[in-house]
Amino acid sequence: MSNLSLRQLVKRYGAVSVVKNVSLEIAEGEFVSLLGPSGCGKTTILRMVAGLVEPSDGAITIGGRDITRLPPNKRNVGLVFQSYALFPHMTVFENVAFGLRRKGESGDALAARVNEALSMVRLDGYGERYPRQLSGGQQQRVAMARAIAPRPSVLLFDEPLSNLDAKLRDEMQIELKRLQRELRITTLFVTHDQAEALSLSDRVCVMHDGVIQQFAAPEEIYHRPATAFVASFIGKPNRLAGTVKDGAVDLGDGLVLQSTGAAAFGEGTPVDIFIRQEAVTLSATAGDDGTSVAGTVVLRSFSGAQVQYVVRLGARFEVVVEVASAGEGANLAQGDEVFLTIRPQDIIVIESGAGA
Amino acid sequence: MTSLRTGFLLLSPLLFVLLAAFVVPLLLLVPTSFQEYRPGQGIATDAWTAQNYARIVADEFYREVVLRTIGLGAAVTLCCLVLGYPVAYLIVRGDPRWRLPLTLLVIFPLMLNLVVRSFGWIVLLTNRGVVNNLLIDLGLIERPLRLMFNLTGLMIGLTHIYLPFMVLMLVAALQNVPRDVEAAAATLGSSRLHVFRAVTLPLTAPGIIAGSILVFVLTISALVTPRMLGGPTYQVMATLIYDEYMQLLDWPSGSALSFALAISTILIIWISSRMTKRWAGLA
Repeated sequence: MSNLSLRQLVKRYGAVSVVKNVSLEIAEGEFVSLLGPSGCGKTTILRMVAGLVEPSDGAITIGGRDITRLPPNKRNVGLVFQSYALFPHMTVFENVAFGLRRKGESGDALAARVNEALSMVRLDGYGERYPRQLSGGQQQRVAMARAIAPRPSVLLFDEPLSNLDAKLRDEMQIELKRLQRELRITTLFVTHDQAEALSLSDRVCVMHDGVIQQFAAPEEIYHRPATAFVASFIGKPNRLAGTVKDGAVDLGDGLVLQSTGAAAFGEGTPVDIFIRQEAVTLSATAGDDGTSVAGTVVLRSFSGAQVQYVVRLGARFEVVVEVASAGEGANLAQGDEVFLTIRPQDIIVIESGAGA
Repeated sequence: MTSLRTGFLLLSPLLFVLLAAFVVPLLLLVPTSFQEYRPGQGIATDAWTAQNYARIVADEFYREVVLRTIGLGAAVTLCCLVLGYPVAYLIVRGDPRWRLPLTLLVIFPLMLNLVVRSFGWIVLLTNRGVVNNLLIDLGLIERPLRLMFNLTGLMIGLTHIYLPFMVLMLVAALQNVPRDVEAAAATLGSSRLHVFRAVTLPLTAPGIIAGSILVFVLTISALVTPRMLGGPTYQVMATLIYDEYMQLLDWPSGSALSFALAISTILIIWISSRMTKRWAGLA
């Protein structure tokens, strides 16, 4: 039983609150990401769980045991740093053996467990090298092996992939997910990269300004954002302002968008709507169900698998639309008249002034 | 990236000064050290001899001075290290508000003239000095302690004078230790003491080596302080060499002693830095 629980966690530096009353329950073996822009308090939470930062208020328990005031060496957590933080004066073997030795392992049992951890991260045979002789990706693997070798009850990751280049990052993401699924260790993963958080996690906790915005499964976060902040932070949404009218959203200038979400608000409520770039289809003719609006292509940009358009709607709005470069609407030119079709359930409606 | 030629041009003024004022005179002393000094006649240029070098090892007086100098160097270095490390640690890891005042406190002695500082120690350490008078007045001792003209006096004076160099070197080294690496050791089950022993100390090895070499070299070549606190009888290499040259006019012997000191210093530094590097896993 190693579920991690944070209760009304607060961290203040002087008069500034960095973490404001955060409560979080993470089930055993669950992979949870803390996602948010820099300065939202996610790393501070992670460091409080590790024992490197002392909470101003609140409690942290692992498997029912209160660890709030324990020093880091008594917590049995594994922490993987953004900077890797390997011991530069020790070999890879000694790095991985460090935590095991602290637990009293030695001799053949120690060697067996170090080699097991190294082979989990596919670094068999690298034991005798020094960290400086390894590439960034390999160093990150050593850092992971070092963290998992002592079998911690909770694994903590502090933006572990952000120092790697894009291709390596994708590879490491897959490895990390595989590793966590194999070991079933409760994991808290801090990142500002939403794709990383969505693809890796069982649940994602979106944070802003020290407060939890939404804590839910990745699909839920993506399709049904709870606050305007989550809606604007996740995906690449277009944000438009309008008012609710007859169960649809009136943007003014005769532009009306059908939206299933609009029914929840009273007539005349000012709302913000969020339209994901990839939720829009472009066509030469209007659809017959009244979900299409007319626009003009202002800019086209080709980026391989996708084509992006900037489309002007009416006099006041411009939206960015992304379509597959092999699909319909991929070959429009600047100045073309197009119809934008958005399914009513893909328009996220949030009352104006609610959240960011 | 500057080219080799530009680099050489930038270096050339310093190279010229070093060559003319240091390397050439030093090389001129090499033949001198193999010549014989005849009292009343001067340096004999007709014969070559290794006697000046042989005497350093064979003569009991010379041997004692050599061993004393090296021992003093090692002891002062160790004292500076033991006293300086906690200070450096406090400067780097303590409250940032104290960083500047503490650093100023450490380098403040360097702003005073060396002779003044050594005189200060004489005032404190002589038979009727501040320390002895205080201890006698307190009834702790009956007769004054011998704190000068011996190893104690030199140790106290030299440690005080060279401590700032060690602290500054260690501060630079400690600033280079990433906090994350220490934090990683802590999360892996290291107590604070073990983090220090297994991570912080080895990672500051370059600073320990640099500071130790600096203090060691400065100590064994110190002239003013040993002369003032050691008096005319308690000799170290530097005072001995000075006497050979200036009092006895025995340039060959002084030169031989100088080279012996320089060569043994280089050897000791080389061996000890290799040992430290191996211990810190840097080799």
